[in-house]
Amino acid sequence: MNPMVPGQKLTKAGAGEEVNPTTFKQLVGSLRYLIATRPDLIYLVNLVSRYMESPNEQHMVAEKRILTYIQGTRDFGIQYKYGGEQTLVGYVDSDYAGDVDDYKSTSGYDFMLGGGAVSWVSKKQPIVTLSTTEAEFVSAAYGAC
Amino acid sequence: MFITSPDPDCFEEAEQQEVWRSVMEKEIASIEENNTWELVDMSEGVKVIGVKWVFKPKLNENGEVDKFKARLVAKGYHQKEGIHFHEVFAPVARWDTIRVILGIAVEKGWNVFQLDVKSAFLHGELMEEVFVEQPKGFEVTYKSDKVYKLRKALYGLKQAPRAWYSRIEGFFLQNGFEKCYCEHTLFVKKEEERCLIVSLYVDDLIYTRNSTEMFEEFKSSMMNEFSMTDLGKMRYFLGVEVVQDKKVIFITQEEICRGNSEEV
Repeated sequence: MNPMVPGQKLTKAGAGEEVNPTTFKQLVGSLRYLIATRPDLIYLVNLVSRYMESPNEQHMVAEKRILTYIQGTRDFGIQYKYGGEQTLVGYVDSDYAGDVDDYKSTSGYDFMLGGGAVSWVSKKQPIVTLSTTEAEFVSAAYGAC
Repeated sequence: MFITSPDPDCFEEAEQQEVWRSVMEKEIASIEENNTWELVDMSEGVKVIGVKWVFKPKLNENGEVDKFKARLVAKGYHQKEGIHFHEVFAPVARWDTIRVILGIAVEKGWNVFQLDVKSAFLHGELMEEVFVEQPKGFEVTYKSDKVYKLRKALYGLKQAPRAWYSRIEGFFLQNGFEKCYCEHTLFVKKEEERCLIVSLYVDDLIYTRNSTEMFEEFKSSMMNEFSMTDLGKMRYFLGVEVVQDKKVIFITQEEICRGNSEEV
């Protein structure tokens, strides 16, 4: 089960009938709560949160797909294990112009300790970058401070 | 215990039932014991903040009524900024911090434990002058026109969380802990090879250590100052299940996922 349709891009305009923004936002609120133990959801939740202002069916379908994914992966969590890597390991990454409405990129990082993730973020970059190199640089700077 | 009627909405409903009357008495007793307030004459031009009772049964893990709880709360929404309260912000631990503690604990082969402070907000010391009315059902005979001047916070007061944080922060610093400068809810105490790490989430404390003595010392001084519940190994924290064995710590929100998908 894929939590997102591969290759599909969400847009502000979306498609289909408008849906109840309150319901949509309440679901985002519930999803955000799960981020405490689920780094795999961070990008998805960050993504659907962008469409809270005027959500329509396209956004709602994407959100419900996340719920379906969660339903099949309820027992997911994080395992920290003795005897593995003894140092803090971190990763940063970025897409490039992933948001088709404003062409901004999305940064993400993940830090691991004791064999498990301890800190993770997905966040749209505040500026429009002109190359993948620049977008990656923004991510690296964000992850480092 | 078995009760058929729903939770009472107000004092008049609750006083009809013995269970609720007795828990109200308990709440008043703990407030009195805590030296929270003193009875004074009402002076002119002083705004008196109202209080009310809130009734809630506490459920256990199986969803059965475990005990009944009556809480006396102040109507904080009548408080005026700059007169009855100033600062209100109180920090809480970030999830990143909690998880780092779990990661460190596992690497060192330590376990993570949990403590809970009972009626935490009642321990906060007030900087402002606040007067509250006498609670329904517990007016002092022949002195029903007097009001209470608060020394310590009540639930519902705007500054109650802040006052509690200041109190426990002071306690940690006095007891030789060092406060993390970028995470104000993380306290570490080091003595030679011994180390104790504590993180604070309002009234929940999680801690890990390599020295049992050092912790027992800390716990008894803590118990001396506040009344506490020792929850043992960390099992359930802010809706997250924590499974610990010798070499592994696992965190999950399986139960919450179940509830979530049922809603949709």
